[in-house]
Amino acid sequence: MKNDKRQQQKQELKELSVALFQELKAHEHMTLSYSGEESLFVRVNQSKIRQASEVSQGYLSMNFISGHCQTQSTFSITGNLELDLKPALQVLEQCREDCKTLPDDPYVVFPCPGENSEEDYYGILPKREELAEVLLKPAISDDLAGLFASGTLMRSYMNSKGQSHWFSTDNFYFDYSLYTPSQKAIKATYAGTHWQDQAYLSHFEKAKSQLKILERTPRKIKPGKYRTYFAPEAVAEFVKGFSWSGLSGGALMQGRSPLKKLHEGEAHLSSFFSLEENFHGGLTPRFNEFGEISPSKVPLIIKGKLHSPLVNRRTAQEYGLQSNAANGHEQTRSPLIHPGRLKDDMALTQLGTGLYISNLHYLNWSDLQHGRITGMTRYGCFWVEDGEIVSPIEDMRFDESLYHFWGAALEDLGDRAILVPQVFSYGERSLGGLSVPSMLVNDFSFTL
Amino acid sequence: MSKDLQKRLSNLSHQADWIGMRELKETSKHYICRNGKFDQCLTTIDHGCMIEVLVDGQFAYCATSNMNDQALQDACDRAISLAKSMSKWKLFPFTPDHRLKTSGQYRPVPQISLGTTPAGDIVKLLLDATQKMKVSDKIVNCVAQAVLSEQEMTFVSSSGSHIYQDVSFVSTHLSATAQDGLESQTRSTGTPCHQGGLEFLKKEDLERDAERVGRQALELLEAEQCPTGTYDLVLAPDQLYLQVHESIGHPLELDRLLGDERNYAGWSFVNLSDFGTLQYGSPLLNVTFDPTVSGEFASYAFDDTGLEATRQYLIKDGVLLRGLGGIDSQKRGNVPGVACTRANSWNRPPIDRMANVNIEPGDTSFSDMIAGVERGIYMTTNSSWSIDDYRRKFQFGCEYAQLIEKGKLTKVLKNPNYRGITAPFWNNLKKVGDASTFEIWGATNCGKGEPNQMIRVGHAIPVCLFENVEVFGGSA
Repeated sequence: MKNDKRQQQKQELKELSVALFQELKAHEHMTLSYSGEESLFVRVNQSKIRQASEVSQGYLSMNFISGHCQTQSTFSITGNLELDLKPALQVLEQCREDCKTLPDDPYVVFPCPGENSEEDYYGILPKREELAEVLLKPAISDDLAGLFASGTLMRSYMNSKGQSHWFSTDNFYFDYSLYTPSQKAIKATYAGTHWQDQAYLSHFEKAKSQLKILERTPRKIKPGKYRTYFAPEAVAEFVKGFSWSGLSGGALMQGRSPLKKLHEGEAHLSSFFSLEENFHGGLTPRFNEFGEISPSKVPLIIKGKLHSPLVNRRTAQEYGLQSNAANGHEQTRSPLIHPGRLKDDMALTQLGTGLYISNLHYLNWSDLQHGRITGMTRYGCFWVEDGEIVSPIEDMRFDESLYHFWGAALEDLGDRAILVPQVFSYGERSLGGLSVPSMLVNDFSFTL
Repeated sequence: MSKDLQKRLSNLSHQADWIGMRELKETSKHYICRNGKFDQCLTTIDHGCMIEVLVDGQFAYCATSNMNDQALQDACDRAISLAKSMSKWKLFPFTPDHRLKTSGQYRPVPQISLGTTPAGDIVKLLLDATQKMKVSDKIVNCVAQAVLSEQEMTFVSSSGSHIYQDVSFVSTHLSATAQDGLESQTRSTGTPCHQGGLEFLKKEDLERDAERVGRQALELLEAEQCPTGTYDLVLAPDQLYLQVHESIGHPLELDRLLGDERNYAGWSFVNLSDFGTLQYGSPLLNVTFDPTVSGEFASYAFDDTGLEATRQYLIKDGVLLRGLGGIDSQKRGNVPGVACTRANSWNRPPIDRMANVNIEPGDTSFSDMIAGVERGIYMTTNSSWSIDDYRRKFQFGCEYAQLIEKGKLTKVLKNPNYRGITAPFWNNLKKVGDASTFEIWGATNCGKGEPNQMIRVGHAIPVCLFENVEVFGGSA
């Protein structure tokens, strides 16, 4: 075990949790969840540095139960027990005060003893002093914009019944786009846990080589239905949008799920389409806010039929369902779409004539009940004729139902599921990614 | 919060050309009740400090939640070494002149302070609201939420700036879902949000809105689909605010025009050369950046670089005049802007954000506006939004609509949507509602920036009428 900052943080959390649990009275229970990071962010525009920042942050979420009353508090901590204990005790007192006036929570989830876990993943991150040169020297004659992020991410769970989980990992990503003089762009992400200069250079050169074709005059596509190939990065956008409330068991019960027809057996998706939570990659913790450890595989949709939505312990209590260790929001954490038979190098041939979509942008439901999603094409998207790229296209709006594009119109899926890393950093850096293949769809609706 | 941040700044040992410290503490309470039962009371206490330095023309930042002296010195040292390591590759040579000396306070006093009411009393209000929404057994889910927040920010710098802002916020949301077989419809209040106190969480307002939301969710179950075609479209402020946000606010952000956002939020169809010449909308369109509106969500006196915030026209009589960019973008682009360089919290650098972007009221009453429409649709309360990365092609969905026939509101319509292209849409603006139709709205979750930031924005908007808009409904 290395003696680094994350090990100090782990030890501090243990001591802080012991001190807090000791304060509990007979009828009180507590769970603690921790999320922290040491991050470097470098923002790039025109192959130059726009902003650079470092962040050291940690948040402790205290779930306090008194009898059947429950309240939560999330507060920033420093990693220094001497500084953190006093405010943590003040938070505990405020929780007690709140519980005096709050009604009982009918679906309170009590902590229980259970399996403990501890995972630490160490990586190799580029040196900060050399980073600008390493990132930008290859792009000195190009127009590159993007964000480099790296550092250590930590997640933890502890409860007053003695259960604890810890997960930490080093990782990095350089999420960037390259632009032609007419501002057509290619999107790329180099991500991982072990930085290699040569691998980055190869990645960059591959992305750059795709720019040439974007210099052709873009074609304006008329609204209509088109045979369409979606690269894995585009498929990932569907899954992200779909994951918002799409697979939540609670949403299904509350009439706000696009899968109600699937759930009721009134509709089905293609037998080619299977979706699961798959934690085999170890990119994200398997434990949730309730201390449960998810199975390494959780089938959600099997051959077009809903096997199970994501259900957490709280939803399970409310609706009499079986929990499958979903997180608090019942969102996917490590989704995987099963691959099909479509060979990547045959994608254009299989498409024949139609649209090649590399990326999508700004998806939202346009008709939730019918699973209809709208959004835009973005970056390098092309018009293809007889298996050959003819020209890039002007951005198009689409509006189509998932019951169509993952249903009867799904011709095939790519034969490899590609990991598309999560690069969101709202409040904190995201963990993990989506494993998805490409897909080929008939009669996909473009509207504007 | 530190009582002596200026002294703590002066105690730092450094060789930066300029240095600033921004300490921020925000305490929020988020209450949720569902279906007559208490669901959640979540308190969030976020406190930390951003050290900002300028070295060799490069800004760099280091954020820490540890406020002791040694941690602040460490953050200062790290920010300086980061700036040094990046400065050879700097995009623009900033100077200390880009951080002016300013001082002052902004402390609007709420009518009823947030700190005076026990948590159980807030929950009681929300529980009652969920019960009021349940007007039928077909209402399967009722949610009432309130978020009460207090934020303090102190900014000090080696320019001699010292700014203190202390603001409280209230937002609420009521939502009822009706279901009959496979059909379900949700009606809500949207998310009213204000600067202020518990005066924005009144029992009588919640009860009135709860009953309406429940009743209208039932109406939607029985309603016809919104028709497909080209119609006159009247948009209520609780939808139009988001139209303004997405198709006026974001495209005018100068950092987009300068390319900073290309890799994430996107670019803009507006060019730097368009200011002063582009006919953005019809002559009825007057849009202001106005951080001075009392109670609006993103009012403030200074932005996070210390620039004093004042009301400015962005669009006057339909013509684009200035962009939404703070001092850094104004210097880089050599164009006029506003004081809007803001960070969402202590752990992110400030960037161009829109703050309050408002449409100035016109002279048409709501009844006169409807009376003047032969064949149209009135849409209320946003439910869906999407726009391309150049902010041209948009599509919005609303919760509730009514047909307008021969100057009268008639049938209720479900699943109303419309789509269009930004400049032609705003040039088809034909009537602007008067002050009686003017409402304050905003959003808690405007996302932008790398690393990502979610920030509060405000939009005060009258009802407006647009001609020749492509509308459509849901699937059959």
